[in-house]
Amino acid sequence: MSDALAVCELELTRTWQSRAAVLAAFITPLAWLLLFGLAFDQGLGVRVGAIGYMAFISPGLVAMLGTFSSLGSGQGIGRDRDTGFLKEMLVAPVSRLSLVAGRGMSVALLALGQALLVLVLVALVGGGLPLPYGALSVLGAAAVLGLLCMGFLGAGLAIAVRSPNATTYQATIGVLTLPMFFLSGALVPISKMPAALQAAAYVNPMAYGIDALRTLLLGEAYSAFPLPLAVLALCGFALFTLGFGARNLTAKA
Amino acid sequence: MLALDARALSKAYGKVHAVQDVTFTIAEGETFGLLGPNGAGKTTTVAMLTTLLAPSAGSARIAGHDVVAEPHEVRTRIGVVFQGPSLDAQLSARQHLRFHARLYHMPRDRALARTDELLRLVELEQRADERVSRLSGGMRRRVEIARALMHRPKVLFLDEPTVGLDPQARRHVWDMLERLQREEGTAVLLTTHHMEEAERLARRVGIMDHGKLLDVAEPAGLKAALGAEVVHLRVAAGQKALAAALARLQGKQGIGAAVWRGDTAEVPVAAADAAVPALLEVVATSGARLASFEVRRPSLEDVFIARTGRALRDAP
Ligand SMILES: Nc1ncnc2c1ncn2[C@@H]1O[C@H](COP(=O)(O)OP(=O)(O)O)[C@@H](O)[C@H]1O
Ligand SMILES: [Mg+2]
Repeated sequence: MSDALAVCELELTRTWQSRAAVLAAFITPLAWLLLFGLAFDQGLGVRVGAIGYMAFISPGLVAMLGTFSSLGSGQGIGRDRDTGFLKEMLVAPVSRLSLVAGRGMSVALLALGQALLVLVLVALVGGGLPLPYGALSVLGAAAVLGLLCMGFLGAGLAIAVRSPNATTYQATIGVLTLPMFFLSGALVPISKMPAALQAAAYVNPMAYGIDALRTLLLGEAYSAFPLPLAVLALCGFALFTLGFGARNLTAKA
Repeated sequence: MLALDARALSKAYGKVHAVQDVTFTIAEGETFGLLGPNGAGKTTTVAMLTTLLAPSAGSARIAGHDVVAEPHEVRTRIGVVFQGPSLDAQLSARQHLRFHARLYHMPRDRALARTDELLRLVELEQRADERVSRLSGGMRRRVEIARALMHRPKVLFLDEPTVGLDPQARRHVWDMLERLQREEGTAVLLTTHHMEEAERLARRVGIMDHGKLLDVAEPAGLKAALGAEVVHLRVAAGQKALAAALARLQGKQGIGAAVWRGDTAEVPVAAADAAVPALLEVVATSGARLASFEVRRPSLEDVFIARTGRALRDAP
């Protein structure tokens, strides 16, 4: 555990030292909510159920931000392998799992910060979120977000360990992210998507993360899957990707 | 207890025998040099000894702990300076040392004291808080060496520590390594394809080629095995008289049979300090005049050529 904390602390230091990354982490949610969400919400007057569009997409945005930074952090392990810094960690008396978990903790913390920003913004200009379970809604959402981050960190790592170089990795991630985002139900309820696309959503791990967040933050009426099913799917996804990534984590020859 | 004990260590990649049957030991506090050209199998040997690579056969112990069965115990007892770079460009030397201390569970106050001590040893106190991307190659190497020593390892691995450095930076790293040999008493496994480096730093040297350890001895012993020192006498006049005189001298004062190459007599001697006065006397009495006079000691390079039939430099 203390090993994972050491890695987490290092990751936060590195993120903090790259000012552009910190700035981007907080400008991106602002841009999505205020420039995109607000336009549909108040410009076009779009509503989903009883809530405004901005409130409706906020769980999806939170999940997207967590997903993208987790994939990026998984790639960071690949970058450490390319620079050779990974060797320093692999030769230390530290388990592979705590190396990965430490990174997971750092991205989850960052994602929680972004989520908080989104929550506050929606409360100020988007009419607020229903939060049907009160404080439990918030705690549960934080846990789901953490799980989602772990899963996509593992996915990023799995792709990184399988890619011969950074360019391949980035291309792979680039090809995956946008379709995954649009097929996740982040912007449109899954039930309103064409049938073929709905099927794609069912195999999209991001969709389960968003759905669980919606159940917790907006209420069951806004979700497509029962909460236990979504959480189970996320757990399976995280276990699989982390296991695969950590097992294949070796220093470059 | 031995700091390092490798027995018949082997690694095969398909048909490539990167390391074959390598056996050697390192005593506590001793510096052992693995000398060999690129592709000899030095890095692969280090990777197995540092738990990063599973051996195909054989075994190895670090301070009594098996590298395969007890990797955790081994990792707490070794420090590694890898052949390739292993720093994060955006972190400073101090940040690297701090993170290392965390990974090795050093108490905070001990880590801080050790950081100051090592930054002084590697002469980087002034640059300790700059990101390492702004340091020279030699300085970065010194950061890596300091980092590997943070947790006071029993065995320090230095895989080609001065490769890619200019001569001045190389000498600086050597000075620093000599100082740490005196001050730290850590056992060291040094790999190199640089003769002077092995001779200067290692107490014993193992010659490695094509995955095999060909010979292990003290640098002086390896040279002795090759032959004694050789006195080169280049003659300006009176070659015949000198040749006859040298022939009469053979067998006295450890002087061997002279070999003539053109106008130069190469006289193998057991020890130059005993033989030279006798040789000079013979030159004077024979009436010959010398153009030049030189005592040559075989270098490790000569030893390497004698053992492998190839020079280190042009080995593939
Ligand atoms: N991962 C690998 N796969 C196949 N062959 C390898 C691998 N790593 C090293 N080798 C081969 O093993 C031999 C020894 O390499 P290495 O240990 O790096 O030598 P050195 O460090 O002495 O230069 C070389 O012939 C190299 O090509
Ligand atoms: Mg090597």
